[in-house]
Amino acid sequence: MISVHELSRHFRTNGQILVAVDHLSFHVHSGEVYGLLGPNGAGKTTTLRMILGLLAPTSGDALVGGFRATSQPDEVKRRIGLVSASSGLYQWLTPREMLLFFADLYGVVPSRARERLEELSELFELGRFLDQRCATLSTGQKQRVTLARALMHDPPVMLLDEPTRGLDVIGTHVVFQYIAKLRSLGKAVVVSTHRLDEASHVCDRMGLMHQGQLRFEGTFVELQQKTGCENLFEMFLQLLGRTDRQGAETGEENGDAG
Amino acid sequence: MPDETGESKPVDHMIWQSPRWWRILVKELREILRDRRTIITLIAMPLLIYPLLGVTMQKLIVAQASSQNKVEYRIVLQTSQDLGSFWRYFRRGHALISQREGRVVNPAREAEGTLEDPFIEVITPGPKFGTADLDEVVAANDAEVGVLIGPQRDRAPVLIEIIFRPSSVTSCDARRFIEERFRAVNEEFAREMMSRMSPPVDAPLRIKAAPLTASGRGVGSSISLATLVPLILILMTVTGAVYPAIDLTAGERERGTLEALVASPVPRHELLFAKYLAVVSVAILTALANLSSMIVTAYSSGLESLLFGPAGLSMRLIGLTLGLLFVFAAFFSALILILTSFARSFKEAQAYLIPVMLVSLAPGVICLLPGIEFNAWLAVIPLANIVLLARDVFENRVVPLWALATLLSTVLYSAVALGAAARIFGTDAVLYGGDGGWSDLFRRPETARRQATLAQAMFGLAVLFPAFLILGGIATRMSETLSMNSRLALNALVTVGLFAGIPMVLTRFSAVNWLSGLSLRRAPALFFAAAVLLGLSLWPMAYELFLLQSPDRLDDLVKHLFETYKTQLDAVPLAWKLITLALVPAVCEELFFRGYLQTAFRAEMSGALAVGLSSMLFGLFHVVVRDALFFERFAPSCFLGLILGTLCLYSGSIWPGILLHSLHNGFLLTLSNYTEELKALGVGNYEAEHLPTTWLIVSACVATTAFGMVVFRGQSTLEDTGQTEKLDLS
Repeated sequence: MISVHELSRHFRTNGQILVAVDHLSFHVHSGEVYGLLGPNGAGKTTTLRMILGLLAPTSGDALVGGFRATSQPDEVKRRIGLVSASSGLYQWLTPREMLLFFADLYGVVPSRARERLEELSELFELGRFLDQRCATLSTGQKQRVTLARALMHDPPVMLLDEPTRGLDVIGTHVVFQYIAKLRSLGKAVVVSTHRLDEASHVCDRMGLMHQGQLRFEGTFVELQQKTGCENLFEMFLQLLGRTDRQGAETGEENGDAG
Repeated sequence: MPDETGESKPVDHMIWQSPRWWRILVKELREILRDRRTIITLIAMPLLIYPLLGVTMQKLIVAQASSQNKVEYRIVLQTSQDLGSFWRYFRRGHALISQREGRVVNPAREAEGTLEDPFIEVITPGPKFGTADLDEVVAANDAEVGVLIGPQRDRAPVLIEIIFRPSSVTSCDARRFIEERFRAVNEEFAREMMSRMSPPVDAPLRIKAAPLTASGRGVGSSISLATLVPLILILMTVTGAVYPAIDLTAGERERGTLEALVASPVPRHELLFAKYLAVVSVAILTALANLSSMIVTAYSSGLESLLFGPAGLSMRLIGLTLGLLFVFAAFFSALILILTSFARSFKEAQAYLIPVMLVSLAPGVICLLPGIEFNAWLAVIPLANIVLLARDVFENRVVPLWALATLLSTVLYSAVALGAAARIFGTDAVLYGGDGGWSDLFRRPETARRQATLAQAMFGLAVLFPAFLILGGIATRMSETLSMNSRLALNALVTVGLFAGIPMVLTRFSAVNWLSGLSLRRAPALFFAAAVLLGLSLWPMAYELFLLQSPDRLDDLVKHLFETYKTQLDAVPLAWKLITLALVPAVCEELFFRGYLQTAFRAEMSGALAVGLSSMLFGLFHVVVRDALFFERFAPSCFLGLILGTLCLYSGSIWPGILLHSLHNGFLLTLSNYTEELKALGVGNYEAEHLPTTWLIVSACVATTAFGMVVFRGQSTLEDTGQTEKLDLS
């Protein structure tokens, strides 16, 4: 469902080239949850934005349902639901108004949109505050509205960017349930997170990113075999240490900023 | 809904739905109108500000009230010998304006040297003034204006200098009143030249306004109230647009809703258009609230007749004022959307807007000064032009040329600003702080384009139109001291600079391919043959179309002036006239209207619409002649534009059009060069202006055949290349 091929993105800052994503390739199938893991600045969010067509890649491409993100961004967007920690809500609208508005943007007909609203309202228990102004909702309620919004058009692909950032234990649990539900619905899911404990719980396969590159990829067991580490935390420590030593040896002449 | 492959597709349905941009607009308005900050700007501000302003205005108005009851202009001339010349031109101009306004002239009163409504008295300095100097007489308020009439010399326009006190509203009004009458004579002369197939490159009168630097002891206030009222309304409209513009762009980004919005499969320009309409709507609502509050305040404090004229505020005036506010709101909303689309936060947007607001205030405040009159520069300066036009509407003295220039330039600026905002809104540079900045707007594209975009075409028009007005005015002033040969050369130079220079610079700057972007490709020989036939056969129809709209009877004064001018033009060699008045305009206008504009339009719309739009613009530019409007030129020019546009569309090249255009212009010029010979055939004299019917029938047959050739050849060419569907001329 998702096919990322040699995706790269460079940024120009203060006259220097920063390589945020460096020739990244991976595939995600329907009904699979893929974790993009890495420390802050590894290039996870940039990758998701390029898959969605919000950011033009410097080179390479991403295909979603057979459509290219670079040349057919609208077709790609139609097939993706985005949940981002930085997403906000319209303060002066109610969740009902907002969810129906987004359904409309994705071309869902009004009668179907109302059905979806009922379904998702039940799934995320939105009923109590469905007609309350978004500005008055609690953080957890807002998060649930954001999750529901991404599913209003019932997309086959879901991109979740740091979905548990800022949430408490209960909020995080809701997100885990959400991801499990998405898997059961046969959706291709990419979760970007730097919370390694979360990833091992929800992801079928994982890609470990550092300095824009995919260092290791596979299931948790495969990663254990490849790295010889017991858990993801140890894997990352090993990864970071190795990279730092390599960087010191090569003098980092290519100017990568990590 | 997921299909078999699990992909979501919109479901087709038979229920009618409003357009998506409308639904987005409704959501934006719903959100913005629930915000109490909008409500404060919309309702609370007008309720507070007008009663306060009303009190202040009362004091200003009382000073002017006495001078508003009776309109009386005293005009002082240098000598009694000038009386004859003054009345000759003034009477003709007054008759023309009265005729235009449907009023009856009282010749008996005019013969006595006076005029009713307004009462006019023409005097010469005598012992009672104690001075023979017109400046001193006017400065001492013994006359509203002084008129100096220059000597009548062969081959040079008569200089008429109008001395007035800029600090006096009455003196400014008197100056305007006289100037309008002299200009009417010039306009009639130009109209006559065009109907005689001669180029309007000269005028019999050169009118110069001479404001006195010292204000003297004239009556009237130093601030024009008719300017103050629209200025306040405009500033309040601006205030209403600012908050929604920031909130719907930078505010959305700050709150994190913009990413979700641009992640939806809706084109960014559609999202921006809906937001733009929302901003304009709130601005208009603010304007309505302000106008209502102003009317209520004016009536409750008894200021209505002084603020809105003796008739008070009529429905017509309210409609016109709202119309102007709408045009201004459309422009200003687009302008601020550029800035707010670029800002990454509410604060950053405010930081961008504050200097812009202060800068925009300056021209509006300058317009408050009495004696400020419309000219080509002011007509194309945003805000200043709307304030001045609104003032003229309030004073019921709108000059069509400046009204058209104001509206057209504002609409063009709006389109350009909206195009620029669309380039910025929702880009990754704004969303994620990636590469990019203001310089992106002016960066030359790295890859070549086949033709200019619609936004670039609108930019070209927005640059050309003000330059056309301003350079045209400068050329006219410069040509007063030049020989006829040099005048024609100067006109040609301006035409090259504007209509060839601007599209070529823009084509180069925007990395558009020369051949495809300006339709400079080679065309099949048959199109050239058709162009020759059309060039030789279209002129009788264009000529008759023009005559249909021309006045029936010509005044002796204009006839005399025209004959003088004709003598000058006849002295110019025909070859030089053909180069400067036929070839150069044909090449340059084809390059801009068909080559640049129509080619850019064609990429975004159907062929018929592209041809229609470029022809309409072609006609509109021909309406503006020197410093007046000649609406009778619109139909013939538009007609010619349609033929030229179709020729370019089917041939894919402007070369056949250049040939047609040159032949058409050249043929008319050659005919005007041989008027005596034509008169012998019964054509071209004042008694028999229309062409013989047989000429018209023959020319119509030839033109129809040639046009058929163009369409037939064009269709078969397109069928051969499989482009028939793309043409879509049906």
